[in-house]
Amino acid sequence: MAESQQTHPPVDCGELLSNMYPYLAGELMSVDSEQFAGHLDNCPDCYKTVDFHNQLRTVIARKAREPELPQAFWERLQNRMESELGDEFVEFKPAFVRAVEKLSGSLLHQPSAFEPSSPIQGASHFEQPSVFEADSPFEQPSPFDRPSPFRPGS
Amino acid sequence: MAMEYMPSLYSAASRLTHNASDSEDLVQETYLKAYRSFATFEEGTNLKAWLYRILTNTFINNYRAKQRRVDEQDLGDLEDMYLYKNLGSFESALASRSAEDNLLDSLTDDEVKQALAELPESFRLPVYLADVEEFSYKEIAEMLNVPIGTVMSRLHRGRKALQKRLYDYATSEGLIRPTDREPEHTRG
Repeated sequence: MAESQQTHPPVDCGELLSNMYPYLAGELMSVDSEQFAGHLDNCPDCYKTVDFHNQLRTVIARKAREPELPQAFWERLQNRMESELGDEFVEFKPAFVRAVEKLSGSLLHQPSAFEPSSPIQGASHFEQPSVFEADSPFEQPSPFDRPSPFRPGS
Repeated sequence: MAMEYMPSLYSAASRLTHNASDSEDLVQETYLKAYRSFATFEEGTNLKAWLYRILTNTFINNYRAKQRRVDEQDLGDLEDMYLYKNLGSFESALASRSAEDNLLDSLTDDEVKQALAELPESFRLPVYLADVEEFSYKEIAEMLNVPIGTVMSRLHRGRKALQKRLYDYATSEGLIRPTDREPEHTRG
């Protein structure tokens, strides 16, 4: 039994590509991800297909966002919290503020300089704007900083 | 007051409700609930996922009823990698890679938003959460309270449908020409 497992089975492109999005999202187990990446290094057609969809994902993510909050949002929110929470609402709980500040670094300011033509290297030239105090560690990586298992060809 | 994470929640809310005042209400509801139940939030768990779970639950409970329910069969049967395959049929006419780039660049924000908005909700949410907000399948499954396999199949079908719509925009604006399965003879 064991000896038949010695060599890697040949990769079927269609079957491999059915895992394309899980691969791009980093959802494959590492062994499958490595096999996927290895195949891309050797198969220009699959490489091109995956590259296109990787770009498509990036473009959709960038264009589907809605960065502008209505001007009076904060005022309305404040009023609503005061009226609905009453005495419970003194001011924003410091722990809550700290927690969302940590988070906000990863959510703020979409990378407008993010070139769709180079999504793979994109993360490196995305400068994280520092809008908060220096002591707010941005522990949560930006979605754009998530290491992409998609390696540009050798 | 530095609650600047709100734009992201607002963006999500806009994709869910399609409507500025509903979006704002939804974000405010989310904010209120999060504030009220923040004591139950455990340090070290994923805050973004927690907030989005509140957002999606609130949406599902309060807003979804208002909207026309469109269900899965409406998506029809589309081929995999719809956009790419149809784009691929022009490959000879297009300077392949740069044409793809042009197409992707030419789609406007409004077209992409509209294409997402047109997806039935059971597909729109997973696609938005996975491909725009980059949540993991597991997180999405928890947010929507469905099995991971369901998330994956909805993603698969939702993306095809999204690509079909993007393709339709692109062809209607002449960004790419409609697919001719048979080569056309050129005259003169």
